Amino acid sequence: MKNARLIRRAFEVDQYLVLRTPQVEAAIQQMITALQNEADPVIYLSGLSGSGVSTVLAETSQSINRASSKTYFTVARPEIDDGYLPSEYLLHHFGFKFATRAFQHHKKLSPEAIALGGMLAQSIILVEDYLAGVASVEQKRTHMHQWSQLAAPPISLRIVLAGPSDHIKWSWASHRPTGPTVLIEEWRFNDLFRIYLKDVSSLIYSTYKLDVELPLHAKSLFKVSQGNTARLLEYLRECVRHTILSAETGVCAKLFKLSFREIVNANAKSLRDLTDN
Amino acid sequence: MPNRSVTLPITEESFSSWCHRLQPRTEAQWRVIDDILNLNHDSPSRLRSRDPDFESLLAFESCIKEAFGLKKLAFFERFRADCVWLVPHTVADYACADCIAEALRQHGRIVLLKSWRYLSAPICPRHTKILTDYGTRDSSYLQFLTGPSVPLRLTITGSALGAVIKAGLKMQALMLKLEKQVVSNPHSAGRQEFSIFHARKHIMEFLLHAAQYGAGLATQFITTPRAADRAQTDVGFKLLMKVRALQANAAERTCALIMMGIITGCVSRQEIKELDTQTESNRSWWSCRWDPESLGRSCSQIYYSRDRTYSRQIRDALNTFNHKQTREFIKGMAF
Repeated sequence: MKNARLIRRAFEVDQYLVLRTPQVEAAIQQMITALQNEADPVIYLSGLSGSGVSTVLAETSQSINRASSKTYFTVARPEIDDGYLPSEYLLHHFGFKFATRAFQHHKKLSPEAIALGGMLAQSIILVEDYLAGVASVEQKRTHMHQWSQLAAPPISLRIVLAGPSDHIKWSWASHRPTGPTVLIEEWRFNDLFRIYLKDVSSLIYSTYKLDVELPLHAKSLFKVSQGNTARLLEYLRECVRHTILSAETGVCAKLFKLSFREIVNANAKSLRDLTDN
Repeated sequence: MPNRSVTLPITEESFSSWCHRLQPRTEAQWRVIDDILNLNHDSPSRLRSRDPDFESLLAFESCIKEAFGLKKLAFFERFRADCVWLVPHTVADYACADCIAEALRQHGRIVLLKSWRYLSAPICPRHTKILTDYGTRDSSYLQFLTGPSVPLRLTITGSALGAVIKAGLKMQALMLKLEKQVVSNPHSAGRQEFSIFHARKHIMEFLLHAAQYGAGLATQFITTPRAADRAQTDVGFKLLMKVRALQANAAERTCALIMMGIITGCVSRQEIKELDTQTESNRSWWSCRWDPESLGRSCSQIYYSRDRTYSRQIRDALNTFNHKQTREFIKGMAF
């Protein structure tokens, strides 16, 4: 019973050890400003995988909801058929049913998509992983042409195209935004990084009552994370999980000498011992 | 405990519209949604070709309940019709284009209201617009984007249309209130509201019917006349009245509502005058005016030298109302 509680607590780390970075905060503000500025109908949101692209997109949509009367829709690409063109994504997202390939692979928007765009006038469409499923340069050209048509008068939708700048799953098309872009920066080894680590230490203490001084290990943490937020947080979560599973009161400094793989292996062993008992 | 995996219906939403918005996850859920919305036309399901909104609702409900794990019986009460006079689902899908655009912006989905199927409700009270005819039901919903497949054939626009809608809305509210009373009281047969409702309904059917060589006055007063339907030449007058009222488009139904209101005294002299003034310039070949006597005369002209089997029934319906305007209409009809 005690072990079960311990295991559950260890796995809740993923849920609770989340802290927004200053880069993400800055990107959200930039995005809101860009959306308030009517000049750019298509705005790109970019950053390396794990930098917080999805967080910025989610927070932006919530901010739009709170701050203005504008309607927004978040279109999550991976949930939808990879072969769909942007106009088909929209039709599918809004519950219209059509036989696949009914609209063919044309650069021109279908009359149905134009009508739908007209009905959604002035709305903001936030597209996650906009290049997922795009397999060639020609396809990418068609996609981008359709997005720009949806953003141009008379439809005039505001469109945010978000995607990681390093690699997009199931995509062979490169992501090189050609329009106004909000870029989420990676970490640099400076005071900002140390302050963030201090905030994470406080979060660990307030949530788990575990003592840890992460800024003391800033160098090794920067090395292991390579300046990427997701890598840093995943590493720290494994460290905290290890401390919980070994029933210690503080995160041992020795842990930070281990690689990510070594900690994961150590946690797996601890977990096996606990479940065997 | 509420089932949070199920999208809640929006106020006044129809059953089929809600089903269309449900997001099936299991095979059983997909199957039941397909059956209800007729997406799978090859399905030998017993529910296919039934009206998913108001016919055999219990059968549809039990399927949904089972597939989506809904327990509360009262949940489905909201989908019951408040009216008995309904546009058959096989005839057309009437909807307000503005409401549809609003629903898309607000809920990210098309929401169809159950009142759009009520025969006495041809106007959207929210946007004061006559409902659009989107043709026969298509579960793809693409018809709501491509626009109306069947034009309303309206001959009036601008302030004339505004005056007609204003009067129509008043009569729509009156008729729906009365119909609601009749529906909510299952023992209303023989009561006054029951006979008034049926008399009003009969007058509207008379005004909306379409005979083989002509049509009811409400089908050609603010709209261009309907094309004759040769398939129904052998159908009796009484049945023709009922069938054609169900087939009438929203503009014709609006006109019938107003005319019925004028005949039964629900539309005042002042309002009749306003209608006459506003529609005067739009009037085409009809020399007819909105006052009850002129309406009676026009009806009489339409059926002059034809089968007058309708006369006893319409006289009985008119006798329910002891109003000066009713008497003027009877005088015009020259019974």
